Amino acid sequence: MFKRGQVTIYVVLGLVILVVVGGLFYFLSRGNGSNTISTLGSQAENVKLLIQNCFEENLLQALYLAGVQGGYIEVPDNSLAINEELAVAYGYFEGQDLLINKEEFALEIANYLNFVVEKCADFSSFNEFTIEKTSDPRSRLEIFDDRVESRLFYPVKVSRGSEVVNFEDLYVVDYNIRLGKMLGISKGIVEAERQNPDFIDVIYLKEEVEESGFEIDIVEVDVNNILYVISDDRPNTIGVEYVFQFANKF
Amino acid sequence: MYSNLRISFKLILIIILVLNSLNFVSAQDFFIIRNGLEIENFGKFESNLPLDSEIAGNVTVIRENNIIKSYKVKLLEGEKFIPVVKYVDNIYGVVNFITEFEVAIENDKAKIKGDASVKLPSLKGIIAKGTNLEFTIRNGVFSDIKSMKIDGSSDFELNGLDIIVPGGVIFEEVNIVSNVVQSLVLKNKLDQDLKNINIGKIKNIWIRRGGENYVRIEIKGSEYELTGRGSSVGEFELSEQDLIVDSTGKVLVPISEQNTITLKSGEKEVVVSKLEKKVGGVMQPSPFARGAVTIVGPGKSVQEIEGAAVQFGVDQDNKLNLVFKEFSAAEIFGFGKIENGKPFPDRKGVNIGTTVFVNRAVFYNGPRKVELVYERSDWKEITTNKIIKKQVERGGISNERKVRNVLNFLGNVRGIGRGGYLEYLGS
Repeated sequence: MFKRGQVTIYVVLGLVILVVVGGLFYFLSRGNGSNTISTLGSQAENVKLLIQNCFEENLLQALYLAGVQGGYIEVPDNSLAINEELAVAYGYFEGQDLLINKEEFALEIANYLNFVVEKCADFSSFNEFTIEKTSDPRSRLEIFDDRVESRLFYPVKVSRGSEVVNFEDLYVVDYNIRLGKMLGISKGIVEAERQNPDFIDVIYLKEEVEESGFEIDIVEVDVNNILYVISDDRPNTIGVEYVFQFANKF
Repeated sequence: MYSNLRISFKLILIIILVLNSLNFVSAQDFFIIRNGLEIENFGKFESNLPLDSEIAGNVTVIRENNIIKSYKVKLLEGEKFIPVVKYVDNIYGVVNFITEFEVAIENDKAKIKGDASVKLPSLKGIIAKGTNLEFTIRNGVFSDIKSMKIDGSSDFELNGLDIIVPGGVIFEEVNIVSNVVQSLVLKNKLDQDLKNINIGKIKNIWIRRGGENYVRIEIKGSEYELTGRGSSVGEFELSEQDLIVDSTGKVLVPISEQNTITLKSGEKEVVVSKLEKKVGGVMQPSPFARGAVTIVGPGKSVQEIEGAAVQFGVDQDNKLNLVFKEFSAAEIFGFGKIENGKPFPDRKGVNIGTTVFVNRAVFYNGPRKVELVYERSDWKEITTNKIIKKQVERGGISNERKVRNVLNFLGNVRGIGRGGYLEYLGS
C-alpha cells in the first residue's frame, strides 16, 4: 500500500493548499470588508450626481436664454431692447452681418457654465466629509444641426480623515435641440438681407421650413426693426419649444 | 470832334475796365459750384446736378505746388444735398452727396476725383401697368396736335423722365379746348408696362418713335390731374438707395459702369470720378400686400370697396412690408395676376393713388409655390402654415407665446436660475 513517506507528502501538500486557499480567502474578504471606504465612495457618487444635475439644468437654461437673446447670455450693447426682462442681439444691422456663429454661441454658453456650475454645485450639504475642487470647471459645447452636446470637466477631491477619493469624471450631456440648423437658416436670412435688404425671401424661408419643420415668425417691431423668431415644435427634453430669435435693423 | 473822340476814348476805357472786371469775376467763378459746393479759393462751380442742389463741405489742402493744387473736400453730415424732393433725370427723390472727393487744379484745368455715388433716401412715384390700361391727363396745355396714334414701340420723355411706351399704345379721345388739353386717353392694348411716371413732374411730354421726336406735348400750369384706370395702377415708394451719377448727370443703378459727374463752367469742365463702387441700387418696385385688409369677394369689383387700393413697394407710412420677387407667375386673390414678377391684374377700375386691399396672394417660381393669406393682422404662408409675418409692439414681444414659454421656463428652472444669470452679468 502507501509508504509512510508518501503519506507525509500528501499531508504537506494538503496543508499548503489549505494555507494558500485560506490566505486568499482572508485577503479577499479583507478587501471587501472595509465598511468605511465603501460609505465614502457611495456618498461621493452623490457629489457627482449633484454636479451632473447642476450641469444639465444650467446648460439647458443657458441654451434657452441665449436662444431668445440672439445667441448671447450677455447681449451686446447694440441690441434691440424689448423690455426689462429681454433684449435681443442684432443679426443684421444696417447692412452688416452681426449674427452670432456656432463657435461664438458655444463659447458664450461655455463661459456661462464655467461660472454657474461652481455656484450651483453647492457641496455644503455634505457634512460627513470634505469636498474640494482640484481645478476650476471647464466646459465646452458642440453645436450640430440636430443636437447639441456639452462636456464638463470639474474634478473634485472627497476626503474624510485619511480616506480620499478623487473624481475626475467628464460629465457629458446631449440635448436634441436643433440649434445648428437654426443658426444655419438664420445665416441664410441675414445673407439674403445683405444682398437685398428691401425683400424678404419667402421662397428661401419656405424651403427651409419644409426641410426642417421649423416655424418662422417675422415680427415687425417698428419701421426699422424686424425680429426673426425661429422655433422648433418637435418634442424635446423639457417640452418647451426651443426658440432662436435675432433682430434686424434696416 | 476831338471832344467827342475823347469821350469815346473814355467810354472805351470804361468798357475795357468793365470787361476786365467781368473777366476777373468769370475767372473766380470758375471754381465755385453754383449750386452750392463751396471750395475755398476756387469760387463757384456750375454742375449738371439739379440747379437748386446744394453741396458744401470742409476743404483741406492735401497737395499744393506751382502746377497742381489739390484739395480734399469732405462732405459732412448736414452738408449734404437738398432736403427736398429732387428730380435728377430718370430718377427723382432726395439726393445726398455722401462722399469725399479731391479737386486738383492743373494748368487752369480742374479735375475732381472722388466717389460720385449719391444716396437717394427715397423714391416715390406712380407706376401704371396692366391690360387695357386707360390713362387720362387733364388740365394741360396742348400744342400742335389734335389726336395721335402710335404704332410700334415709342417712348415718353416726361421732363427728362423716360417712359417706355410699347407698341400698341394709342392716344385717343383727345379733348382740346383753346389749345388746352382737357383730357386724353392713353390706351395700352398690350400687356406692357408704362414706367416711371411722376405726376408731380409732368411739364413736357415728348413722344418719340425710335430716336426721332415724333410729337411734343406741353403741359403747363400746376393744376392737372393724372388718373389711370387699369387693374394695376398705384404709387410706389422705394427706400434709401445708393446710386451712381454718370457724366451726363444721369443717375444710374450701380451695375452701370458710368461713374462720373461733370461740373461745367462755360467751356470748362470738371469731372468727378467715382473711385469706389457702391453696393445697392434702385430696385424695380415689386408687388406686395399689407395693411388693413378688406376681403374682396369673388366677382366683386374692388372699386366697390371703399378705400380700395394697390400699392407697390414700401407704403406711405414707410412701413416694412412683405415684398416678393423673382416669381415667374402669381395670382392675387380678388384683384389680379402677376407674371414674370410684374402684375397684370385682370380687374380694372382702380384709381391711382388708392390702395387695393389684398388678402391672399399665390406666387409661383417654377415648381415652387408660396401662398400667403392675410388673417386678422398677420400674413401667413399657408402651404407650410409655418411662416407668419406679424406686427407686434416692442414691449409685447416677450409676451408672444413661444418667447413667453421660454421666459417662463427660465424663471422656473432649478439650479441657480435667473439669479445666477444676473450674478454672471454682475448685476
